[in-house]
Amino acid sequence: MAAIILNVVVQGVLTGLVYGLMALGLSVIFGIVRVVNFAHGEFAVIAMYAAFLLFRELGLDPVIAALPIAAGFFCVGYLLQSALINPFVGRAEHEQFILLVGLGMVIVNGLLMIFGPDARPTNLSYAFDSYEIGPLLIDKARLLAAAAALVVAAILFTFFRMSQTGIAIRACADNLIGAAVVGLDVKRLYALTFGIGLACVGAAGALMVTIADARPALAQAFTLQAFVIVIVGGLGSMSGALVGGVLIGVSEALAGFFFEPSMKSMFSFGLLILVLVLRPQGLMGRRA
Amino acid sequence: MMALWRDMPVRGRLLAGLLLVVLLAAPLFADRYLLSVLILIFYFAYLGQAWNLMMGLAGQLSLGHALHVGLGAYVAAMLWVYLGWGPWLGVVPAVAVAAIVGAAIAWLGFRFSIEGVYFALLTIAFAEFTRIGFDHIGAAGGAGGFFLPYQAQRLGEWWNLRGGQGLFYYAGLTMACGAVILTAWLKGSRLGYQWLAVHTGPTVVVAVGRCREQALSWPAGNRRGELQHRARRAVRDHRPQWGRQDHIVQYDRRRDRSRSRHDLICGRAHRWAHTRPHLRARHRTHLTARAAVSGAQRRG
Repeated sequence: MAAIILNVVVQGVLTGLVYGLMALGLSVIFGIVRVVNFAHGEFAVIAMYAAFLLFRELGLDPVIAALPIAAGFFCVGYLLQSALINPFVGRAEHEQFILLVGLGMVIVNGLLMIFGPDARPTNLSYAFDSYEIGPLLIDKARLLAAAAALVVAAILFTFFRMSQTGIAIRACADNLIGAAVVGLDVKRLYALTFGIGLACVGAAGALMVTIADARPALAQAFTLQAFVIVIVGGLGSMSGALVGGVLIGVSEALAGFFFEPSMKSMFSFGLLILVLVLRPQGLMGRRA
Repeated sequence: MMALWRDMPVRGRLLAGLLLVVLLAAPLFADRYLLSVLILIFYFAYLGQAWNLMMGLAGQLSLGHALHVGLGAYVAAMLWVYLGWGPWLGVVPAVAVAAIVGAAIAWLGFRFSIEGVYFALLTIAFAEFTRIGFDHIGAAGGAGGFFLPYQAQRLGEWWNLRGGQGLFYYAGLTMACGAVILTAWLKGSRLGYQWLAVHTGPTVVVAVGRCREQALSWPAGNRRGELQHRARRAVRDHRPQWGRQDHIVQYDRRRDRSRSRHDLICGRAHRWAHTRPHLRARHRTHLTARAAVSGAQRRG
C-alpha cells in the first residue's frame, strides 16, 4: 500500500510541476501587469493543439516543440498586450475580466470550429515507457515533461534575478510611478512581461499533451486550475506558483486514488477556500 | 421606482412604454423560435439584475452567481419531485437556501478581509466546489442533472408552471420587469445608498460603521487628517440624510486621496531625478531599477 501511495505522490509531483509552469505564467502576468488573465487556460489549449499539429505533421516531439511554441506565444503575448490589454491596465477589475473572458470565449469557439469537440491524442512512441527505481514506477513522458518544466522555470528565475530587463520588469512591479519617472518604458516592459507569461503557458501546454489529450473543453478547467495554484502558492510569487502546482498535483493524485478521479478538482477548490480564508496571500506570498 | 420613471426623459418613457406594449403583444405575431429566444432574454435580464445589485451597486465582483441559480433550481426541483411541493411553495426554501449560502460566502469573505480579485476567486471556488459535489450526489441526479418527470396529466396545471410557451413567456417578462423595478426601488432605498457608499468609499464606511468613536477621536494633523476630516463629515451627515444624492458624493473620497498620493509620489520622484542628472545619464535604468528592487527586498 505504501509503495502504491508513493507512486501516486510521485506522479502527482511530476504532473504538478507542469501545472506549476502553467500557473507561473499567470503569476508573472498578475505580479507585474496587475491584470488577471482569465484566458489563461485557453492559451494553454491553443499550445496543446500546436504541439499536436507539430507532432502529427512534422513528427516533432512535444518536449522539443515546446521551444518554438513558447517563442511564438511570446510574440503573440507581446502584441496582445501592446494592442489590446494596455488600454485596460489600471481600469476596474470587472472591465479587465470581461475583456479577457471575451477573448477566452472567442478562442474556445474558434478551436471548436477548427478542430471540433473531440479529444486529439498525441501518440508518442514512449507514452507507455517507464523507469523502475526500487518500488517506484515513473512514467517516462511525465518525467520528461516535468524536467522540461523545471528547466523553463529555472531560466525564468535566472532572467528575473540576473538580467537587466528582468530587474527593470521587477522594478515596474515594485514601484510603477517611480519606474516610469526615471525613464523605464513601462508599456514595453508590460508587453515583454505578458509575452513571457504566455511563453510559459505555451511551453506548459506543449508539455501537457504528453499527459492529456487536447480538447477545447479543457480550457476553462485549466484557467481555474491555474487560479487555484497561484492563490495557494501566492498570487505574484514565482516560486509559490511552482510549490502550489506540486501541492495541487499531489492533492489531486491522492484524491483521485482515495476517492474518485472525478472528485479530485473538488479537493483543489476546497484547498483554495481554506487558503483564501486562513492565508489570503498564499503560502509564499506577501501581504499587500 | 417612481424616481426612475421621473428621471427618465419623455422620449425614454415613450420608448419604454412602446417596448412594453410590443413585448406584451409578441405572442400574437412571433413564431415559437422567436418566443423561445425572448424567454431566454428575459431570464438572463433577470439574472443580470442579480449581478447588477452585487457589482453595480455594492461593487463586489462575483463570478460564482451560477452557484445560487443552481442551488435554487435543485432545491425547488427536488422538493417538487420528492415531496410534491409546488413551485410557488418551493420557491421560498429555494430563495432561503441560495440567500443563506450567499450570506455565508460573504461573511467568510469580509470576516477575513478577502477583497477584489480574491473575493471573485472565492466565489468561483465555492461555485466549482458545489458543482463538482452535486455531480456526485445520486439523489440530485449526479453528473447527468436532475430532470422533472414528464406527467401528461399535469400539463395543464398552469398554477404549477406546467403550461405552454405562452405561460413561460409571460412569466419571464413579469420576472424581468419585476427585477428592474425591484433594483430601482433598492437603489433608491437606504440599503441602496449604503451599498453605493460601500462601493465608492469603503474605508470611510468602515470608519463610520465600525469605529465611529475612533473616527471622531483621531487627532488632527496626523497622516490620516484627510480621512479623519471626511469621516467626521460622514458621521455628522450619516443620521438624517440617507437618500440624498449629495450624501454619496461625500463618500467618494478614494479618488481624491489616490490622486493626491499620485501627485506626491510623482513630485518626489521628479525632484529626485532632476537633482541627480549625472547619475540619471550614466546609470538610468540599471541604478533606479536596482534601487527599486533593493528597496523592496529591504521592506520584505
